[in-house]
Amino acid sequence: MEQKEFMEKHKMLYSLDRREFMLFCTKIAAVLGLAPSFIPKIAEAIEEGAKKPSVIWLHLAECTGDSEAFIRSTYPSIEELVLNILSVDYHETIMASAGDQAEELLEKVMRENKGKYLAILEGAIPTGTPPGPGGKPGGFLTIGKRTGMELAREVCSNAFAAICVGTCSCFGGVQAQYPNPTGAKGVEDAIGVPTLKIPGCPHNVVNSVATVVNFLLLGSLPRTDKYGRPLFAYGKRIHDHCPRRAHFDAGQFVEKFGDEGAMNRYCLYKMGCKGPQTYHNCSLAEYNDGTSWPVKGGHGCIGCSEPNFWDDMAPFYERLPDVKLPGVEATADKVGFALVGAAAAGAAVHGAYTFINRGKFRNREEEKE
Amino acid sequence: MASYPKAAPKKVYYLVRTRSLFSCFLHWVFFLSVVVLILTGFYIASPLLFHGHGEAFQAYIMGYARLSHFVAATFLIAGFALRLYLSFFLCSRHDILDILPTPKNIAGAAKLAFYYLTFHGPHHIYRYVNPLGGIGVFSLITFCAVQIGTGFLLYLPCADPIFWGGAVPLAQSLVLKLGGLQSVRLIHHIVMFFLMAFIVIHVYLQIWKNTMFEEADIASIFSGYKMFPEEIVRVFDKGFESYEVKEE
Repeated sequence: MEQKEFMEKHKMLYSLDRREFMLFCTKIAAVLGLAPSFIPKIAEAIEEGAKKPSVIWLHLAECTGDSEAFIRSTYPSIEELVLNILSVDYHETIMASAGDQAEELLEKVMRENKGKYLAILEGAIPTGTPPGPGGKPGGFLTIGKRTGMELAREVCSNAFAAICVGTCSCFGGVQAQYPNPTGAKGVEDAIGVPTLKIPGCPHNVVNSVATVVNFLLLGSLPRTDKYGRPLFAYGKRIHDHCPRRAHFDAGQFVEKFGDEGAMNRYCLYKMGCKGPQTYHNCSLAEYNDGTSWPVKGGHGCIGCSEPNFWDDMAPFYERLPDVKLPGVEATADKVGFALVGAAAAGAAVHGAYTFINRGKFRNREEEKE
Repeated sequence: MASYPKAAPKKVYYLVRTRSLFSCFLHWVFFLSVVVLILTGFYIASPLLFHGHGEAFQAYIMGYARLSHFVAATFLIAGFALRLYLSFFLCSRHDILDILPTPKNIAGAAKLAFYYLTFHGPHHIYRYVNPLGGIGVFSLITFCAVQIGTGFLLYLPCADPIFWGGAVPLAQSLVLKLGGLQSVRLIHHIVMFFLMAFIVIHVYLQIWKNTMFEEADIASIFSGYKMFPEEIVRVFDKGFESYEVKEE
């Protein structure tokens, strides 16, 4: 493509100059792990964004954090993303219409793009039945007289693909934490439709944009791991690419926040960092256009892209979860040392008992002879 | 042991082979690897004692701890594989039958446990592993198997994906079933304490038996021989593996 023509076209389509546009394409190629030769292909794929896949973005039980992350996208900027690259037709937070008008729009988009649109879901789905008269399953979340379960099932079953953004829609998130009063579940568990998952609290917008670019480029969704998370972003643990990893191997740890180790940017392993258990690309992509991420800021990872992280990764400032026995909740070390102590005490008591009674015992042995 | 003296003026003892020298050697391989595994495992779980000095590249303490952990685990696994092979194919008798929790072994272990606690009741003196020890060894093998399994699940995410190939995604699907790497880590940590409790009881019982019973000889784990009095050896020579002591 002639450079002039290219620039003209992009000037028309996007408010980016060519340099900015190619920077974005290079960035996405890097996130997807593609060779530089793919950069022009990405540019073409986005340029053909005239197709502009229709997107329905559903808000379920959540805090809008993932929408907040989404609208912080810099390359491409949110207006490019929402208006030019995608056609975000239904998004409760940023759409102009409201009430019946919005519901009609949802129906219309679903009817016109059946089997072609992308459903992006944010938030868990409560499956429990609220107490009191008129309570029906999933009634804890009701939008436009429909429960979240009904809404998500209808939108996902007619979509080309369902993409979950954020840990809540992927795995349930904080709503699904014990004791989970609303019976909240991740979208796939709640309605049984397979979904691509981009977990994180919030998710990193680079990963959702890269997934969309993958869709535009190849017409399919990226390869995923066993949890349904795209491998380009969730194929390695945070620990594997952590900038503080050298200090882990060297045995140099932050002992408490603000100490000398913290000032030297030592490893946060002893502060309960869950990087070794967490699959995510934070350490490479970072958040907010590569500005920072928790470990860079001096706080351990809390494992927000892992299933049930509120239950499994807590306490956030300890290495291991507590052990819950009937009536007792203690650290694994306390339970373990109690066990070994009990074995030693048993041995000591038995030894003392047989030592005191050794006379009887020896007599019996001698009588035998 | 071909011939016995006709009339023994004093109690006569005979050396009886109870285990092969190679299985003695493997016992100490297990001992060393488990000790290294526990010590380095404690450091990996909670690095308390040692800290790297200087720049990160000048110290490699956690790196060496993890390396030692993996090397010791390799020895443990290789030892287990050899021992299993021996007990199935090479030993003159299948000593795996001594440790399986069969009804016979459980009954024998219960009798022996009752005798060790009260010094009452009929019991047997065994030539090879006694059923109580057998159940201990069986639980030890179970703990070690859990440790090896969860250890692999923790190791594979950071292992060479080209060398391990399909094992890496397989491990991830297993981790998924167990509830994430954090749960696997907890299982690995807790079962280690069960192993330590086993070691405490095992060492105590061996020393205690050595002081209380003439046929229990702690040296047999080094030499493979135990000393038994003549009347017991006669029973063993008839092909029995245990000698019954009746309650008077």
